[in-house]
Amino acid sequence: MTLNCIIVDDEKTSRIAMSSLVDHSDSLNLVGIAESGEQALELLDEKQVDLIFLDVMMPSMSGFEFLDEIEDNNNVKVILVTGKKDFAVKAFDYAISDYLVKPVSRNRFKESVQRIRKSVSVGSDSDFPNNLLLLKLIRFMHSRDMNFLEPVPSRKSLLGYTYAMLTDNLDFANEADALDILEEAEDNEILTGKFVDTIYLCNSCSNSYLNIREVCPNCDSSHLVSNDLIHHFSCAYMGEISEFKAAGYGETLICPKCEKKLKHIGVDYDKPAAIFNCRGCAHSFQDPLIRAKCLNCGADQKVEHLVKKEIKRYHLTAKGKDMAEGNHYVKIRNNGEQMPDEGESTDYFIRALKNEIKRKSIAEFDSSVGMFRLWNISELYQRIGNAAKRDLQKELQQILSNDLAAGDEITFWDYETILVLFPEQRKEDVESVMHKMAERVKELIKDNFDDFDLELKMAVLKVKEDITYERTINELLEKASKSNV
Amino acid sequence: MLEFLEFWHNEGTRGFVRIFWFYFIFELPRYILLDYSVLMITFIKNKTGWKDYKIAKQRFWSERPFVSIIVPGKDEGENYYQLVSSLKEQSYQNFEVIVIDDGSDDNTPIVGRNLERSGQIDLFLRNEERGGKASAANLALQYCKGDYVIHADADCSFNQDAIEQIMIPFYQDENIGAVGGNLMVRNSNESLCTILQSIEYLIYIFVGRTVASSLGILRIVSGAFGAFRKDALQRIKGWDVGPGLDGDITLKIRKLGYKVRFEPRAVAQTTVPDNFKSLARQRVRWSRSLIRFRMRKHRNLFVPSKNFSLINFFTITENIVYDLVLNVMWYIYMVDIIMNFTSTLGYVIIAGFGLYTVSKALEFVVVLLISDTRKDKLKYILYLPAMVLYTGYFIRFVRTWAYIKEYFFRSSYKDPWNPYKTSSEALKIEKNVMD
Repeated sequence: MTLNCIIVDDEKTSRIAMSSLVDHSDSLNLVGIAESGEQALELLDEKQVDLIFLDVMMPSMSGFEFLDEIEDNNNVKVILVTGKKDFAVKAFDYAISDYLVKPVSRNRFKESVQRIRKSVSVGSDSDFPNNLLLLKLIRFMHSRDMNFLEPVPSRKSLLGYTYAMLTDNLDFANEADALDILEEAEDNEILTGKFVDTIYLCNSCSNSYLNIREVCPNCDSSHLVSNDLIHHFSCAYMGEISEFKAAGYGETLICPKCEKKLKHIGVDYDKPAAIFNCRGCAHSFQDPLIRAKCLNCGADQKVEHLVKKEIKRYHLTAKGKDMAEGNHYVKIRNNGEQMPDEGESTDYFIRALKNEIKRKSIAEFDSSVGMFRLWNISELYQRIGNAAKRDLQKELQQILSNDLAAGDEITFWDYETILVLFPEQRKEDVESVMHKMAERVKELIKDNFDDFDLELKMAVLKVKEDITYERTINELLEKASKSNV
Repeated sequence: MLEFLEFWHNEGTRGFVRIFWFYFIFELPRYILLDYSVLMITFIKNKTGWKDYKIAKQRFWSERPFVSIIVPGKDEGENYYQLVSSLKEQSYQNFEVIVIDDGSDDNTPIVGRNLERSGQIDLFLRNEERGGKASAANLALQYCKGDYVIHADADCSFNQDAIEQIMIPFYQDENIGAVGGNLMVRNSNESLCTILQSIEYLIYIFVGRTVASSLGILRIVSGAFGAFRKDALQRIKGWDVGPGLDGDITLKIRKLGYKVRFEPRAVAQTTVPDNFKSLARQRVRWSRSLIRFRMRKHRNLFVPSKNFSLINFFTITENIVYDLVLNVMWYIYMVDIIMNFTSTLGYVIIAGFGLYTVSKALEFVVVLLISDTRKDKLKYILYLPAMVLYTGYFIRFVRTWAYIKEYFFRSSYKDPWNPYKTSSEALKIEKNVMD
């Protein structure tokens, strides 16, 4: 965990000396330098600051006057840096964290920072960066008496909206984490949200800057022109307006069938519909696909597959204020790239399989292990994006579990492979269960993505005492790839 | 009973023929003798032409032409699914399906768009403003990519080899411009009305058009299921304002010099009206087109000009004589019978009923003779007496009514089947031509 710090000093040499010390520290991140108390106050408003190195003797506003100004902000730690030792007692009254005497020795500086870090990390969890961000956010809101955290529209942000303190502290590519953090905070009643807007994000990079346009359902080209269709009543001819123009002259329309001049819309002709012509493949159609092209990563996706999110303005709850003051702590879930409990469940599965192999060498019974390979599912994953991919896998695991007995184990070996362990069940019985499960998987995919044809492969093996779990899985992989369901 | 026999004994064969002169002069030669002689010729032709058919079939399969199936219609969404699933089952698959929704008021656009998105139909186009069937078909024609165009109704479904069969005649004779498909009744078991129509379709479409086609005087390729050379359709720039546009376009194609054929092996099943009231309405619409198109619009077929064709002249003359002139003449015949046989009218009616039943049975024998499957059709024999009343009176009266309305009032131009805007414009043109 790194601390954001600022240096406040009127003397140039001191500022240089301090910033060199800060630069050499791994745990500090210098976010600003102020030459006066006033400048420092501005910095505090703009930036998330955890620690201030504060000079006492400054011309317009002394260090203590500055401390009076920020009295309410009890989230910022302050280290006094001064040439005189005389202020030590007064410093105690202000409950400052530490006291350094110029010139500051490297060791003393290190020790001091170490101490501050310890005190800050109490009540926060360095394993969960999202947690820390939330904590920073609510402290920021609370200390400034911010009633509302407003989403600010911004063309430069990934989401199209920024949240002070939150999106600033995230890389451009991870800005969407802000929404997860806020959502979690709302679920935990730290914040309450009020709807402001709906946004649609690229399903692979969460970018909101999308080019949404009509494309040809045949070739996905967006090079389309639309043409009115004309119905000439008297001869029942129907064709595109361009045909009527070609037969006429200027803007005069002449029927290509009966060569009569069209006179009056609604009387002798009308325009009952329009049609798109694709310049890419010459296909004509009325119902174009709507696709969104991400201007960040270039992914071209159906609008149905975009990720829909709500943008809200947030209010800090009493519980949130409590947490900001450190009286109460709420841990939020970390929203990572990984599948839900992926690692754990795979490890568990391997242990169970090893166990089964060991048991087999002692007792006489049949156990089986099966595998599904979703052979071409990566095409589908690519199409629907990451968020939907995780949901789909969750759902797959759920419906597969419906057919399993209590002792059976199931896990996603990788994104395309599912392993199932059937302790004390014969291969023949397991095969029929597996077929039933395969049907369900196919149904699920077909119900949700009717234009995708899933190629599903599967295999079942007996658990044998002389075959290691690695070999068992390798054999399954090989056998499944040759099968066809 | 005794008196009845005595009456007919006294009349003798001469008297019998005198009383039923209408039958013996007009109907017997046309519907029985002609059918049977053509049947003989067709039978011999088929025996010798079998090789020719097989070669055409091979050529068709080696060429595998791309076919566009166009389905114009309004409020037909509920029928799309059945249509599409029967097309999926076709033995020949090199085709595209273009469905036109002509300003439907129901959920047709939703059904159509879904089928288009899931790739079950290739193109779904919708006119927000209704323009009538002809304009919808013409719109589809604009976007057809095939060399052949099959016009189908959305409420039809097709036998598994229907597309293949309707295409083969084009490979038997290059001069064929259009091929009509065979229509059968899908809901035949629904009511007496649909049973009678099943028999009617068998006699008048299956046999009737086979005969007309062999004689070269086929005058209609039904809109429900008909195939066209696209170049022919493009030359005449598609369909003109209906109703009765299918008969109209057939004549236009014939005028270009193309032959028109009926292919009984290409079978589409269609749902027919299940009660007499809606049946009457449908038939009034169909019958009016005789006056509108053949008497008025295509009058020039009678005129000896440089485009005059004897076969086209016969085609339209046969149609007008048998459907219109005889329809009128029948009333004269009725007057003759009533005036001259007032006291013995009952005997005449009973004998007439017997005569016509026998005649219908003879017509039905032809159906059985040329059918591949006969078993399912045998049950219809029981309904043949009812057919006498159905075609002899019901259909005849409906036609008369339609002719009068169209001849004197041009009622087809007021038919809500077409939007008013197109009818009124079409009427203006026709009046200009007449003046």
